[in-house]
Amino acid sequence: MSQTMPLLKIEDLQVDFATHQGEVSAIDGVSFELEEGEILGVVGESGCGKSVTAEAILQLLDEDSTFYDGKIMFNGENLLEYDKKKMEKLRGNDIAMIFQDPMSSLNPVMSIGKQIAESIRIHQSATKKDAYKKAIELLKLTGIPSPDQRAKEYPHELSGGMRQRVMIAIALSCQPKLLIADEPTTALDVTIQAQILDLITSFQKQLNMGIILITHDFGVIANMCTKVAVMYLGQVIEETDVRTLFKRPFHPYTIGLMKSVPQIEGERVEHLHSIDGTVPSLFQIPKGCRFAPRCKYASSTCENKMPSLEIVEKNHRVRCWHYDEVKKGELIYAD
Amino acid sequence: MSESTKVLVNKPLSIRKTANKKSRFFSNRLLLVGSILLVITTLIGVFASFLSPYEILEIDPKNRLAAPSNVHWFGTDNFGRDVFSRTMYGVRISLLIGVTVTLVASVIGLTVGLLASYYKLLDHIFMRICDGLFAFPSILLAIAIMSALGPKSINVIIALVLVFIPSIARIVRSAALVVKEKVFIEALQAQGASSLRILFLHIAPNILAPLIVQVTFVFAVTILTEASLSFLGAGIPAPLPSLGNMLYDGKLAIYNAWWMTVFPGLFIILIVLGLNLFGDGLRDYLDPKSKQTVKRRKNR
Amino acid sequence: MQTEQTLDRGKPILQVKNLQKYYPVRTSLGKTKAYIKAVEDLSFDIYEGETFGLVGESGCGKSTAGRTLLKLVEPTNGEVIYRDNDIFKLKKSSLKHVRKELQMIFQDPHTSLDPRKKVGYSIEESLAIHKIGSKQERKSLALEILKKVGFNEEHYHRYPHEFSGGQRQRIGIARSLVLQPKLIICDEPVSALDVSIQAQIVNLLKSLQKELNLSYVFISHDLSVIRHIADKVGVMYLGNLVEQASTEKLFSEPLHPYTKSLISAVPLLNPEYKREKVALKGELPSPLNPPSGCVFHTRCPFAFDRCKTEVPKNIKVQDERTVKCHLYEESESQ
Repeated sequence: MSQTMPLLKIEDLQVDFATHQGEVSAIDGVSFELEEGEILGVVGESGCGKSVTAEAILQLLDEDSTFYDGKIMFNGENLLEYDKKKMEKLRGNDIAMIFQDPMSSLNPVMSIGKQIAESIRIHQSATKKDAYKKAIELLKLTGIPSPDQRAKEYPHELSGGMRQRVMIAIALSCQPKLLIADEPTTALDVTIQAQILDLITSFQKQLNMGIILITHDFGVIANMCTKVAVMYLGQVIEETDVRTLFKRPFHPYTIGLMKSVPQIEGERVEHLHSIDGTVPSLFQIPKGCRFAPRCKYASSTCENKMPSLEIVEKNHRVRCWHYDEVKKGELIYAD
Repeated sequence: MSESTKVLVNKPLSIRKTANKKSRFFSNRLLLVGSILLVITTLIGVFASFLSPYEILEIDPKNRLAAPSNVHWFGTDNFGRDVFSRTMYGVRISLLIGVTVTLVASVIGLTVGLLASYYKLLDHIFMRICDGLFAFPSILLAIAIMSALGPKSINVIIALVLVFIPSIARIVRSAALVVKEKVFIEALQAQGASSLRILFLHIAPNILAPLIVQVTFVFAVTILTEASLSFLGAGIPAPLPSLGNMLYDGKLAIYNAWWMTVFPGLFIILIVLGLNLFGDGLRDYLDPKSKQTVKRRKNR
Repeated sequence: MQTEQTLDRGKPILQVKNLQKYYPVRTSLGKTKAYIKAVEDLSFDIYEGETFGLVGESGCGKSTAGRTLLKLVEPTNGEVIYRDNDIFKLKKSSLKHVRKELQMIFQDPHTSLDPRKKVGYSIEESLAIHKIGSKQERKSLALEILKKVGFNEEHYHRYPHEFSGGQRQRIGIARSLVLQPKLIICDEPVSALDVSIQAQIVNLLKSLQKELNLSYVFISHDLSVIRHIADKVGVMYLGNLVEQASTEKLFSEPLHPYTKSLISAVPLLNPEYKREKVALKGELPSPLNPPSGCVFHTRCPFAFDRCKTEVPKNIKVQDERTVKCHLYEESESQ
């Protein structure tokens, strides 16, 4: 167990939104830790709050209608107590973020070289020339051929994969300690996805960055992450290291989800496993365990009392009253 | 559950639990004030005859240019006619013209815009014609048409309809082009739906929001343009009172009989203001993503 | 599980022959200066009750191919034979008739339904367009179909925005079924959905296929989904069908280098096993200026001289198995 402080420690994070239809709790008591050099995967379906968690760390959510509670400890300080100025210094510098759709994350009327340079100049005192030179270097590092040429081009002239490389260049320009990647390859073709993930991995090794990788794709999780947190309807329902997750998942939702993914290898099943029902709206969160209405192991306890995230074995936490029965019944990848 | 740390940001506020159509309407100040003004002016227009103590065409030369008094609330004009009664009728006539022009221009503009969005050839033809009409300032165009057609009330309507079709057709066309790209249109084509069905049963209902907002603005501009036309002597022919031609009458006496211009002018302002506020408010109301100040309950 | 059928299945229900779709790029004066070659020489057959998977990455032309098949997009060349008739040569009225039997379901559940019409209306409209049945009959047909896809009567009266993405997709399926089609083109029907909903929809499509003996052309970029639902697969790259085989064969022994690379790029759900990836060089070329010879040669790890100059033929390697690659010319079967 590491003696040093974790890089990022989220304690009981609560994020509420004030909307036209009333107040809604997008994240309800999320806690996890990330050490330096670790890659944490946050996986879940729509509405689970994984993107909101990421945006909350950098306070990118709408100021007027978002309300926070809990702690986000980064290098020992609570980010929720930072004022605007301190937050701006942090973003792009110590903590960087890359998004799903590079086309809408890049300025369409600025050349990509200038955009990378801008990020450098914001956080480091560099001249325009030096920053631009560094930008070209970064483009090269991210594997873009003929970087001097490309630096003059505009986002729409590049392919999706290249734009994502530009985003990575911008994110890594100030050598952040923590990188948050929100579905970085979801919009990309599978062959490009492989390239981008390799790129992120190599940078991670070089800079010993901590990464929070948000995705809905279990394949990406299996290949990239060291630790995984599974989210459902605003809560973490299972958290463990990646090997355990695929060998011994305990939560019925995790199991159901992994089983619903069609496989590229192995036996072809006739019928894909599917989880009954649909994710309830955040305005109608079930009482008790949030997954109970869809769970085949649900009992009356589940419907009335919310289970807390408990440690069930080393490095493995589950939010389920019946994980005991579940673990006896369902093993997925007995390898 | 958690120890509250210093919660970020913001003044403690209170939240509206439900935001149904009624509460959204009443909280939208623009929409509310605009609607009130419109309701008042419409009622005036409808009940003009009940509200008018005098005959609008009745001349009383002995009492010409009389200042506002108990007998004549808005005074009398250069023919001794009661300005108050004429203003009430003026509101009616201006509103009538506004409604007629807007309705006719909308129907034609909607059809033109829809067809232009769907058929490339018609698009070129119609839009070039509209561009041509658009190039003229509306007043000049209206005057030109009026001089060609002659000074009759019906011609005012025709002229204004022609002037305003292009702006409606444009908005309709832009909105229709956006809807046309949506997948359900393609799905209808895959099912063998005819173009007319797609245009009028599916695209048209989906562009109502921008159309209605535009229509309220066209209404306002119609009122103003008609008033300007009449003010210039090219609009509603005397002795029938329109808010515009009352200004025309009052032009020469503006220093000795301010009431002849101020009161009709005031009502023009009220109507146009009402329409503009209503249009702005309506746009916000119809836009599901509009940012309304959301408030939050003090204690959690 | 489907085994390879070597029996005679009769004639295919749909035969696509040398389908071509080029988009002209015009100068401002209207002269054509270049072509975007979206679909190039696409040929395949589908039998009754079968699913043909069309897979490829973005820009490969699979969606365009799907639309061109139904003449939603004007084809440049080629034939699509349905029930002994070339669809492209039919008159407008006959085409409308044929459209009843060839339906389509779309990718985006959020705009695939008219937001201003109730669900029941959208479903019945297909019947109204073809003047089938009285008002009462249409309503009962619509209710029947809704039940088949998992809804009940109350849903008939609701608006699309009241449903989730997955539910809207099911409504889209219902809409296409109400005309009792024989073949449905599914254009990425599950790509926009969450994994668990995706599974529900795929299961629904499969059971409907069994029940109604439907044929599908299933277009997707997701190889795993294709592997699960398709009987036969065609792999597309830059408008070309580079390989075609039964699902079993394609995934167990892919032949074309692109297919190999595609399959190897899909991450496995196993953190312990890192697969050997067949890496591709460079980026996807522009369809405005496709490479000479074999369109894949610029990125192919096995390319040799001939690939740069000569377009490979469609080589028949086995029964119902073709590859468009110079590497396989010797293995051409009789």
